[in-house]
Amino acid sequence: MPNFSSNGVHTRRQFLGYTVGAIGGIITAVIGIPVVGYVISPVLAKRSSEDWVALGQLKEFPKGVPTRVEFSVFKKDGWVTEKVQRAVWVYTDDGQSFNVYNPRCTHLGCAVFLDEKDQKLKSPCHGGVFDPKNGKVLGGPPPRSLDTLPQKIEGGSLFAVYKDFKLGVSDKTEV
Amino acid sequence: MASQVANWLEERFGLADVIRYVLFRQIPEGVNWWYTFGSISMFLFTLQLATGIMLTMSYAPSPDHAYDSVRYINDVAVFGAFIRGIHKWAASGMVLAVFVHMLRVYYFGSYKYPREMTWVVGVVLLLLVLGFGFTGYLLPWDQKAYWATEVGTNIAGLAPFLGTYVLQIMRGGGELGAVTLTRFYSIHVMILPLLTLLFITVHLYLVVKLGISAPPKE
Repeated sequence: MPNFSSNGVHTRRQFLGYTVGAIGGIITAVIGIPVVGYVISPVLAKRSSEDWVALGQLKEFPKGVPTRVEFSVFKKDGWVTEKVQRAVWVYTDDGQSFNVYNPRCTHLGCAVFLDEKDQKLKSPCHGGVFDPKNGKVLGGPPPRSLDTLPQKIEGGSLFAVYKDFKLGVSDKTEV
Repeated sequence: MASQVANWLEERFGLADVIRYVLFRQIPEGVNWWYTFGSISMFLFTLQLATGIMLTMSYAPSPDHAYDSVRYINDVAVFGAFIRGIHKWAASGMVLAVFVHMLRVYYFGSYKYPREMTWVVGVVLLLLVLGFGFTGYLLPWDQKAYWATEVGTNIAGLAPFLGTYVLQIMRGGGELGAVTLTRFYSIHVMILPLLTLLFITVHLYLVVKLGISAPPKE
């Protein structure tokens, strides 16, 4: 412990103590700031938007039954550019107007599957159930309907843009 | 001969008193089997250290290789399935053991003066154990691992205000992928073990220093 003088005058020992402390603090900051920045840098990562994807010709989609359409995109993930498997659900009643859904359950992001028995889209994780007609929640914990994706029809084909949305909340906000 | 070596060492290290002080302590009357769960937890932790280090010898934390390297450990490596089996079961056992330990301390009132800080350090250790469970669960990189982490990180993403950032820091980006796996691996095999060793040291220092509490009298 430094020798504290009672008359308010700094002793040499105290001065040296503070100096050593300050140097230690500078070293800690010089190492610590980059370390913290290194760890939390993913918060700055911007997600690049994806391109329009052709999902198929309009007449290929069965009516009244949801269809799972798979496609792959190349995504940079750290040091690798990976082929990422994507899927969307397409539903049409009349072959003219379509609903394209992001496959993630809006509760916590598990991919929904089609239960053949009752023709509902269900999440395997916590029992979310969705109506394939309009994406509405029929049961379970999901806070909002299935997320619809931007879509367009061109030259007899259906196109969509894959996007993800913040999960577990009632508002649909893109991430 | 052996005793001569022991004496020679003792003259230099002077550990006999320390060992006597640490291991041959007076303990209160009436302690029972419920008091063993702290030691059980620590035993399991040592098991996890030993088997975990062995697992890192054959495990590759990359999306391309993680699953296959775990298959290799399980199916090809000599005693690999045994070592991984211990690591897996002791992991669940450790979560159980630390919870029983915590409940014992709670119901016996052992957290009271002067052992409040032992409790606080113990809570930190409990969180570290759960952190081990969460990060270790991803490493086999199978369907269950992937979706459990998808769900787990999305839950973290629901934290007020900072949730989105927490989610991105945990995943190392927007989507779960290669960077998530290396992050979880680093946390699982470097950060958490070092922190756990540090906090176990403090915990045990307090246990030895303060002694253990007597069971409550009804």
